[in-house]
Amino acid sequence: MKRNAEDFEAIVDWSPEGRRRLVEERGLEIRLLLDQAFSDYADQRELGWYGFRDRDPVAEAVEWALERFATIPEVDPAKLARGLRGFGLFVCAKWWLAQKVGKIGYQARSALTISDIRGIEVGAEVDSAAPILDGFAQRLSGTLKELRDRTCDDLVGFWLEATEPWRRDWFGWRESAASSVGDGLSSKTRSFRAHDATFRFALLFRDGLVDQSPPHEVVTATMLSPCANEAPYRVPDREVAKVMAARVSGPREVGQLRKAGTAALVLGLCALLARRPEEPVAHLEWTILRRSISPTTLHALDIEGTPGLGEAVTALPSETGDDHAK
Amino acid sequence: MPNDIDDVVEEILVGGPAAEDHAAWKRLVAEPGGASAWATAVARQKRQASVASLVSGRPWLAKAMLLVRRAARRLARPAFAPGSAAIRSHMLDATLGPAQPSSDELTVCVDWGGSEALAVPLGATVAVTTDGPSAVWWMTSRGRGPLPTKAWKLELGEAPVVLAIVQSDDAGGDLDDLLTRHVAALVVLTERQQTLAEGDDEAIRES
Repeated sequence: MKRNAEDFEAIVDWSPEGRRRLVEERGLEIRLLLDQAFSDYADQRELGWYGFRDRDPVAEAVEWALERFATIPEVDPAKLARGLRGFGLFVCAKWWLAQKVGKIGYQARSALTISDIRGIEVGAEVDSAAPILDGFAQRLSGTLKELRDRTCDDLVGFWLEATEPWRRDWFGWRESAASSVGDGLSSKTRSFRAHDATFRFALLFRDGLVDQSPPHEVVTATMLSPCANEAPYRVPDREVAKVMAARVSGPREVGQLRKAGTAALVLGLCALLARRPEEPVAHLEWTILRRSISPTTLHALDIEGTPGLGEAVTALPSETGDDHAK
Repeated sequence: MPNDIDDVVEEILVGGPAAEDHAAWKRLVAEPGGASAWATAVARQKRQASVASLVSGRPWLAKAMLLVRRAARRLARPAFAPGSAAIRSHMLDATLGPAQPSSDELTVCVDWGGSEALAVPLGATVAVTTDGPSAVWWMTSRGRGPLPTKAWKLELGEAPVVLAIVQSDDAGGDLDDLLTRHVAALVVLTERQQTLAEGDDEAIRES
């Protein structure tokens, strides 16, 4: 499956001659992409730190990068991140800046990743977190990575946004959640996307929830398989119908099975959530699943009309245990 | 560690080592700022990919966009905004079926130095409204010239067509020269594809 970063045209010929020719023939396009990348970067940080101090430091950085690309003796694309093996390289300002501040005569292998040269420390422990929370963060992040591998980038973003207030409480951040990004979605659409993302996350978080039955298989094939990073963020029913041609009559049946499958999975989650555990780890895991199901989930999945579902969801215990007070 | 989560996100998105590194994902989940860093980076990447595909094989278009960006950084910008471009709605009744786009998709506003794409159905007319005393120019792969009517009817095979709002009353001369010496903004007309994709039902339901 293609990631966003791989939506860029590939560069086929990485030889010095090939790169020189590319700059000759496509120099204006490449300049434009670099110009956007460096000016986006300059909006956040200072290009002067990297020695670009002209009146127009962005243009200076662009010309430097272009010259570098055309004249560097050897580039091994296999050592580049997948998203950088094409024109995506020209939109990654950090890669070029890493090149700029790296030692002369750097070894390609170490220089060709951002983190190696910039000294980004990934993997810092969650400072004040108790071991329980640390283990919980581990599980959440493992599932989030799986969500990305099995869907697309935007769903990860929707999940991160939906869960930001929860995560702030769990992991003890002081700052308040950042305001949402103005991407033009209506609040209703944004809410549907958030509920869709947290639901799919819940399916992956809880092992064994999704089984091999045909409706579940269709849910897996449409909603938990790598898909295009655009609404409705699913593998189209018609594509799944082709793959399952021997067993389904067509896209309509796939759509019906998908909805039957999601409805069954909502009921499965409801059954799991019927008792609120006291033990801390189990309670945290219960909480994330509990927060992933609400009446809005049914609308987001377009299964609000399924008999019994609404009742099952509203009958779920609340998080705080004041069920009887309501 | 200011901003470092941005670096982690970017490396995950380009498929660098962090993409497979559980510690990087754990930071994304357990540190503040992950949601906005992710959303910002994905949006930027989408924008960059669409610009890359728009200018692919069109050096004239890349050059115009580049000139406009650089002029806006170098020159003083007027106090007023460049203006907007709108698809004339009476044309749409005939050309658009039930999947008629929302009004947001029919109008774009541009900033000085910026370029915005506008997907236009064939045969529709786009009218530019300038907020100040600016001239409008047209540009395609085949030619360019002043556009005193400030309106363009999109015909088959023309797209992309650039409508440039130039902060100058200079109606003659060379457009590249104008875009170098004056601030400007571009609207890039592309052809709107009229296909009903799966998920349209969902879009309608949610609207």
